[in-house]
Amino acid sequence: MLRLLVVLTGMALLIPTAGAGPSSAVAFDVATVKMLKAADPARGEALAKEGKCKKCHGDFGISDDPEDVNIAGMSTSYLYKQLKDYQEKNRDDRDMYKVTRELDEQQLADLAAWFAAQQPAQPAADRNMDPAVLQLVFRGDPERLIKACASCHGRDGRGGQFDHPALAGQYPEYLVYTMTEFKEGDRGNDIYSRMRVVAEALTEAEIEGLAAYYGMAVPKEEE
Amino acid sequence: MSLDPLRTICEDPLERKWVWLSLIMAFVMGGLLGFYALSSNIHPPSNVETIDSSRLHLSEEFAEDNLGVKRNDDGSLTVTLVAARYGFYPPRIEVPVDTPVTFRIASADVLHGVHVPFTNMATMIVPGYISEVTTTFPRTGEFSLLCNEYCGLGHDSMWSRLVVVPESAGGESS
Ligand SMILES: [Cu+2]
Repeated sequence: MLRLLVVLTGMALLIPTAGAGPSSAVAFDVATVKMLKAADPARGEALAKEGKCKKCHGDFGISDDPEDVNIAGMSTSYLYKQLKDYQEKNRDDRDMYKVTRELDEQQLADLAAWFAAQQPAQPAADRNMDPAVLQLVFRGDPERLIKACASCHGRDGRGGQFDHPALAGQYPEYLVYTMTEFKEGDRGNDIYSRMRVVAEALTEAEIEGLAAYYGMAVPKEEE
Repeated sequence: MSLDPLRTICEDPLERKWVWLSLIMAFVMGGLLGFYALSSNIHPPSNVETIDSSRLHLSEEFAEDNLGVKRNDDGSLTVTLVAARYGFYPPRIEVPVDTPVTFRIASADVLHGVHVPFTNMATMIVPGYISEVTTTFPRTGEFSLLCNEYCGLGHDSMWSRLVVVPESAGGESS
């Protein structure tokens, strides 16, 4: 009986602690999908000007700072979900919380549509083609329950449906930063821990290798 | 035999015999299945319960902090799982051997299936419905939960782990 108790306690520990609430309040139900389809990039552009998005994200969604995310050309649904998660503090960022706090859902969708319509950054020409990294990208590692990156993020890294973001064309620094956040539990707005499970199983070296595969070339400092 | 309707599509008499044999077998077995299903009132497996798959993580039962293994009052176990591209969540579950386990599984996106090789645990997970299946695992060890309905690019890496651990009952009391 004692062993059974130990087993059950062990099982209880595996379940995330109660009261944590959902990792994101966004659900891609019919109403949300309809709203995203009807989002207006022109209104989004005006909002982006007003909100001074370009201070960090550049004029067209490509940042100057390699620690920032490049939002140009990501899917409307992904961008919308992140904005909503920042607003509801399911993804933690002071600045993003401040700029999204006052916006309603339609405005978030409009913003998302505007940045989604911009030209995405390209991955570096001399990207990391280490076979071990390619193995992770296209095959994953079943023993460690690591899914192939390409299965959700697309074979070209341009992103998948709904909440699966594009990876290609991000700064390597940002990719390392956000994957480390997932690994250490500092970012947890991936519904059902789908990314956390993978990031926890990846080593730091693997995260860097993957970032060098998907990452864009870092522009040289201007003279 | 000259009236054989298969004659128009098949010349060889031996081949026609085999075609007839397979047709008759298929009809006999289909008839038997139908007879048993009707005479003993057998329905498709498990219960029919609907759920909104697109809002699964906001539901009560399939909320993220309600997943996993739970013990019921009668000593049986309930395992609440979500199948989502591409995995079963939580990705690792542990259950005791020789204990009735009821799986309640829902899909967060498309059609999935679940199958645990070397056991009789298998069911389809249809979006919009809750799949329920009860089984008992007679052997300890590490097993895999596999998806057996093609669900997209990552279907072949859609698997997670089930560990069947020894239970004290039947062994020495400790
Ligand atoms: Cu599947």
